[in-house]
Amino acid sequence: MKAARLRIYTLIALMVVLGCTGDMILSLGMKRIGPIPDWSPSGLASALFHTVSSPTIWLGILLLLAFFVCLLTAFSWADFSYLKPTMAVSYPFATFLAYAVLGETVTLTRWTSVALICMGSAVVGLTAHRTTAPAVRPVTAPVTGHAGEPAR
Amino acid sequence: MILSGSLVLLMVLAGTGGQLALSRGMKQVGEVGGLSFAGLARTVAGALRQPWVYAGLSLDAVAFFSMLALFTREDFSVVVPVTALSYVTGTFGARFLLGEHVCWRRWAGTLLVATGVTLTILERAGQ
Repeated sequence: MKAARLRIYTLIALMVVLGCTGDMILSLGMKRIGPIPDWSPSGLASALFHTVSSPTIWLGILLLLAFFVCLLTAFSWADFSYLKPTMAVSYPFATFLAYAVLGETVTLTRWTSVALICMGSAVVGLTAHRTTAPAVRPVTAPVTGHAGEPAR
Repeated sequence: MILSGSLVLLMVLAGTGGQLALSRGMKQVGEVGGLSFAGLARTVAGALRQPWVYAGLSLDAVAFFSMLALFTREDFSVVVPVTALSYVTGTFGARFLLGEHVCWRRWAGTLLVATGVTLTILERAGQ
């Protein structure tokens, strides 16, 4: 049980880091491209070309894709009502990044919300991460079906 | 006002429904053993065979476009805090649609998180 709990904590931490970093890098990439000056079809096509030819944008997309794969994995491991609130630690993490990396000022209201989210996530995080039975056998189990039995 | 209210409802319900459908689909895929590359590749392969996953992605798209439509009618500071409602609707959905056991500690934690997220978003919107 301890190993399972550690595994889900690791996955949530990974998702928070991937999601926040992906968002930040995408935002950085879009800021580098700048606002769209011309909303005509040719202007939009030019903006699209700059977006898809930016390595920063692709890095952000790659990180968010990795986040999504981790999210799917997490959904296969744990309850939705467990994951939804615990994944909200991304808000405090983003605040920490803004404070420590970007040097932004963090107000008292923001610190209060960080404290509330951390408390809520901790309360949910200490409950059992799965309350429903697995629907099917683990996919990592070797498929050793008898002859004629379709491998699922 | 009625249209904005309908869009809010659509955004929250489709967003929550999308995530619940993804969760249901992945429960049917079954647990993946670890965080190895092979394990994650099996997750994706399993997900691609699940109709619930496609339903989830479609509902997420509906929620996203509802949010965009709402942005054309209402202020950011009105629209975004409403997304925090999804913590509460998501927990209700998990309890009644997915059959999860939601103990009082999970409810209490969810409400704390929803309050914190609302504060964060309201403060961000005020800047």
